[in-house]
Amino acid sequence: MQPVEVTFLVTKQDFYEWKRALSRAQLRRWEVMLCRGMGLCFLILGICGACFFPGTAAKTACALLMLLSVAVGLYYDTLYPYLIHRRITAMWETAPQKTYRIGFSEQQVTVDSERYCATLPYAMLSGVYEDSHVILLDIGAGELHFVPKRTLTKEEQQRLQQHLKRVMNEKYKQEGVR
Amino acid sequence: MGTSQQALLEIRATVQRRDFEMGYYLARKLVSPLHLPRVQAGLCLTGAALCATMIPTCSLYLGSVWAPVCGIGFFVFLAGLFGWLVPSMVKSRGGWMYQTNRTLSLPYTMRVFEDRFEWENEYERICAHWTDVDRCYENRQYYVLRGDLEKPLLVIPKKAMDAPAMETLSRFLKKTLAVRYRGG
Repeated sequence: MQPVEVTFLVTKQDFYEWKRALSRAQLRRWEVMLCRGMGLCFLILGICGACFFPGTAAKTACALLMLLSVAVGLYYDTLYPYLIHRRITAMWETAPQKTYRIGFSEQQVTVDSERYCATLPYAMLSGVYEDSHVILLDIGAGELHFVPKRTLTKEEQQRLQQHLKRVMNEKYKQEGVR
Repeated sequence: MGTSQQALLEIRATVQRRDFEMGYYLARKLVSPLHLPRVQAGLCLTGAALCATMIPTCSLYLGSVWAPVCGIGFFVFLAGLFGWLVPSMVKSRGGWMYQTNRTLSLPYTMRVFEDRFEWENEYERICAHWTDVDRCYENRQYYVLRGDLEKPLLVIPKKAMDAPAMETLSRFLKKTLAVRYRGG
């Protein structure tokens, strides 16, 4: 593979896309399904309760249960992104401004910033996650680097995708990439 | 990256899984006194004791002691949870983190300077100023640094150091990091 190298200053938008991609990458599918399942169960219980139990108190309780079912069932679609957004905004206020130079070659990834430099063989990465805005290089245990896709040309993106697919195999994940 | 200066100390160490687990646990429990398992368990046992004092009153006015007994059971369960189960869960999370990051098990060299430290292993090099360190924790076995360091935690096992080096580093960290230093 022809080496690909990018240099960038992390902007607020980059920071936001990075943390959002990270929260998506860390999201466990079973947790989302569990929440939706619980929401559905509460909804069914609420509807059944409203149909079978007479009285204002019972109807109110069932209505509250149905409201709870919507909140629980749609937590990961509504409240969770909002909470993540709030957290990222707070983090950005204290995040130091950093410039990164990240290079991809046949055998390794190089990361260079003001206080950190690394030359990591692909085998040292615990995973690579790509969405429509960023590529996350996960070293593991919360240690990761990212490349905003705005810094790559279309041709570089394709070259990099093919290379990462080849070297990372099942440790390479894509989501929402066109 | 770094500027030349005489290093105060040079430490060569390798962090084992057990070291990282204990370092991770240390960093969690020394955040505040309320994070200490014995304090959490103690608060729960105080709750249990308060429930126990309600037994005569409940027996006299309600004719039953089930409610305070259930309360005691609940608080004792919580004490066990915070005092024993949560610490072991935190340690296993540390172990899992160590397992997922292959760079954590590599031997490293750390050079300590007055204004910064340099940390390097086979693949990575960090040069951070002491102002980048948010917290430093120390107990009888480890030093743990966390902050804006590109690594989740830097664990320094004391077994990799001799006694004068430990004394120098402890004194230096206490003096340099002041309120950001926590001894266990």
